[in-house]
Amino acid sequence: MPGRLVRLAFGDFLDRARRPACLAVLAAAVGLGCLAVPGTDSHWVILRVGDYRGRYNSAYTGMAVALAATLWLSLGGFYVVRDALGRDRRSGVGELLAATPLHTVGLLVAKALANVLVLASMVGVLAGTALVMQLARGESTAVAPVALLLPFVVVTLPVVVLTAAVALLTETVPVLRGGVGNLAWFFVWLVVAVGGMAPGAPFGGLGVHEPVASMRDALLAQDGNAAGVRDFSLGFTYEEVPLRVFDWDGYTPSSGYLLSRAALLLLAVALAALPAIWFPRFAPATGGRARPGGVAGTLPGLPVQPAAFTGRPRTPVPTGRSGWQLLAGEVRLLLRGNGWWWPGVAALAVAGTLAPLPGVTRIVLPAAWLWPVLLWSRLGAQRHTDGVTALLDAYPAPRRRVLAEWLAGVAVAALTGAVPLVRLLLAADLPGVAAWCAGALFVPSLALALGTLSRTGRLFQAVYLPLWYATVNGLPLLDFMGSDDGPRIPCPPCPLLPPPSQLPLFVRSAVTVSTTALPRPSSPTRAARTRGLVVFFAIAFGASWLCMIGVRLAGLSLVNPLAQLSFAFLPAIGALVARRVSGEGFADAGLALRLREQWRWYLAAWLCPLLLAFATIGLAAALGVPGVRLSALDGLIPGLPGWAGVTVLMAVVPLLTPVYWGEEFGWTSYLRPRLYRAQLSRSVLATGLIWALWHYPLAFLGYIEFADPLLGLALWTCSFLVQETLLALLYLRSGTIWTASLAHAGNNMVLALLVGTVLKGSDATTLTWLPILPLAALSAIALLAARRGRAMIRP
Amino acid sequence: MLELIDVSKVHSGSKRSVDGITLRLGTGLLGLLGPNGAGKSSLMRIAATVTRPTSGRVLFDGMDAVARPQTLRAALGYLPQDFGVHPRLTAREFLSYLAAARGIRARQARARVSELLELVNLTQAAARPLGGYSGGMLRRVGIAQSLLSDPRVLIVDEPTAGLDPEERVRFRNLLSELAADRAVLLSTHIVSDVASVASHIAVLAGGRMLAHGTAEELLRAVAGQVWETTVPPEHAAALQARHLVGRTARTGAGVRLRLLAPAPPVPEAQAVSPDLEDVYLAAVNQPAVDPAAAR
Repeated sequence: MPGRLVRLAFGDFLDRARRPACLAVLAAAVGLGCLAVPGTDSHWVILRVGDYRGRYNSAYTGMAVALAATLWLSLGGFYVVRDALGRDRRSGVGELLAATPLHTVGLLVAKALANVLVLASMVGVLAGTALVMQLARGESTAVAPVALLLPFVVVTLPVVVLTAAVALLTETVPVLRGGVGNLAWFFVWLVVAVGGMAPGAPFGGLGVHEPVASMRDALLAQDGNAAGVRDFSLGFTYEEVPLRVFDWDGYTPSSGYLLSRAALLLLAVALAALPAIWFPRFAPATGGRARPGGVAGTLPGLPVQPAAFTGRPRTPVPTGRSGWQLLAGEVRLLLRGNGWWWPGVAALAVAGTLAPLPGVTRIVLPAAWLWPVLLWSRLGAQRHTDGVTALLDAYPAPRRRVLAEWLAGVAVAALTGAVPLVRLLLAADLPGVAAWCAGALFVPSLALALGTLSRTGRLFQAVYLPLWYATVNGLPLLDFMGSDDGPRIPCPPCPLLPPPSQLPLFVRSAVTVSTTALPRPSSPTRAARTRGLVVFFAIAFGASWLCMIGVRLAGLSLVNPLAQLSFAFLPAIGALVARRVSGEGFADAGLALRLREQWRWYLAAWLCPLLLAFATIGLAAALGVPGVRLSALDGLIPGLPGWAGVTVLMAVVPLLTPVYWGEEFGWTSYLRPRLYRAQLSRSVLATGLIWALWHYPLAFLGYIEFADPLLGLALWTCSFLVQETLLALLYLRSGTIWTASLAHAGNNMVLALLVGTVLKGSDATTLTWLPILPLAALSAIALLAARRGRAMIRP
Repeated sequence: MLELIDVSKVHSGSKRSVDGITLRLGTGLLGLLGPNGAGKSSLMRIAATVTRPTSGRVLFDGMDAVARPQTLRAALGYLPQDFGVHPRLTAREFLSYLAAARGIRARQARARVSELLELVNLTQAAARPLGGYSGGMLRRVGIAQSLLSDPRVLIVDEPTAGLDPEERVRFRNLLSELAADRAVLLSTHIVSDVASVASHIAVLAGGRMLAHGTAEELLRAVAGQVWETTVPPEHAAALQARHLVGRTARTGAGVRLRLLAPAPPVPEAQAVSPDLEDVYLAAVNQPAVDPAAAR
């Protein structure tokens, strides 16, 4: 029986792991891991004991990432693994399972186990990222695997297992199955997150208390006068003064602690099995999409004998402006079936009328714009969840429909926020009115964008709730509804113009609406493709350069990988948005892994950077470049011999592939095929130049410093050209963007790093031109082979 | 009116669901026959501008419908094989919503929706949420929405799936009447659905067109190749292994077989007049025979 459950769970896990969303989730885990280990001089911290943080050794790094993962995965992980049963219900697999002899308890436990496998894969990625971050921070490069991994096992995994079980349980309760369960979990999590850190929390809560107590003891042993030792915080916080550092080498969990974690696991198993009491095993009456091929329900009281055929309809159907009918239809779609909603609207209206103005802006308006969350989350998603796209894709005027859908969302915002708006107008609080307008536009825009992108309402629910919570708690940067009653900026001369502080929100709304109101026609024209390219460049260049400059102005170093993350994914984001805007879809995106059939190209992508590194070093030695020292590889990772350090780098490269996908999905997958179609050399040349141009600001912002900027940029451009040649050919030969992403990761983490280490005394110009020669040689060979007409695989 | 010229659709992994098909739709009903996986639905989706062909052209009144699909969509009624509905809306509300999406004015939409609901025999259920409808009722809602704008081109994919026999007869009668003054493309794997109403028939398999012509032309192509015979049960298996058997029936005298063969399969076999089912079987199991040039 246990083996059967594991096989069932693994099959479910495989199905989920093969979806593109899974890669996005794992990439998010890598991002989380990077965020959890801020730079050594950063003002942002995740874990703080008094005014101290631990030195980034294996124990502390592992614990910091594990604690952050516990907090974040218990929230985000719930939304990731939700809908396990819903998927089976919709696909019809549930009915097949229901007809097997498998007991309901076994079925539910297998589903919970599949949820655990998904979240455990995230924990595994986080553990790997913790190792990389420890080495990257460089405060302690001695790797202690047990100390690094133990926190993930004893602290994170039990909470993650419990989250997986709760996610499953909520799916079996009809009222919690949909958005209500998603909303409820956010507030439950708030309680769990706060209460779970208390010493007396049931089952040890989040498991924070004992490790932090150990840290306090270690800190006091090193500095008996350490201030604020009783203070502890877990979560992203800003410190005016960077924290001081203490040493913590881990701890041995007590037997009581371990028992409490085991009890948490048992609780999770019990919660997973409990629904067997009421779960009806996917019986059709419990719901499913209404579709003509299936039995959706029964309708009593209908005539048995059909009427005689009376001939075709005769009513003429002139077409014209039907915008109001369409808007009315969209509003009806949002509001239908929500009788429970109206009393809440009425109550909020009464509260908004009676409360003093500060209470209206601080409490009533936020409540009014929390109440419609489940309605807003249908925007962009409902046509997919109801399966109506099969009909609507053949209908004319899709833009009109999307605009009507967005306006329906704005109408809901206006309806629920009407009384606060009136109060603001009566108080002549024009900045507040402007903020209200921004919020009324922003929220439906965000919902429509996220619903359209994800085709489900869950993403908006998961994103909006923390945003709303942060706004309610007074984070001004995120105050999209002007609920902060701090000093208002004076009203500008024209009352119709928003105050400067609200302009970014209007712009954000406009951009969001414009990108999502432009739908995906099933046959993109040249104009649509051009529009896509414009959007791509606006995001890939505009947003990236702004981030680069912003990072520098914030005083961060662009060499810092965390700082680089702020713009590293923008080419991919630009491509994603551009594909949606232009309607080109993702058929040629190369997102399929194709690991089995293209393993040779994966191997080549992984090994070539290492071979190129050795070729470059050999070339440097042959040319008599001063300072070539292979022995410097022994210092690559302190404490490890050179060969071991290189091995670690090679092992890390695949883990970083998703990060470099952030560029390759934009440049190689999206842009190159759209420049000089069917002319490989020209498209590679153009893409390489554009890619180089994208990097140029970094040469003036401290990322790389050329003694002669013009020469350096020229050499740098050549480097990008030859790299893009290889990456494009890799993509075309394998049909998947992941080989190019892997090669790019190798170029940065192996080729550049090894050459830079061995030639430590050389300047940036030398380190740039040396690898160009072996890269160019390999590119020439690859191009010649391509021109001989070997088959390219189309993604 | 609507032309598909050398249209192909290639999916990832080089799978061709449609392979170089040319079709010209004018007034009348073209029945598209083929087994499951023949590419009928893929072809229908291309014709309905839901998906783009990998190669080839789609012309509507001489204009490129791939580059500019709006003109065709405005004149199109499309019923896909599989679709969903908004379960909280009633049939009347759902059709009114779709009428608005088609740009039909409110007053005309109300009358049209009522007429269509009566046509598909859903008037009495019109005020109930779609979430409670049976599969056949939802199929009828789908038929109704395809006729909202009185389309010049009607593309229906397996429209009678889930309908009871009387409803299927009603729908065939409707299609027959509609085909008098517009182009109708009907896809099905049920031969009887097209036998009585189609002016032209195309047989698809493996993404390719195997046969195309009027019913009379296709029947002539297999004339003299259809045989019926009754054999003892112990001989039936051998015949089935050597020849293409269309129908088998056990009788008191033995097993009655209807076979396709260029010559009498057994001396006792009698030649019979072919029907469309024989044409279908012959087409999907033999090299393409195209009595009327399709290209």
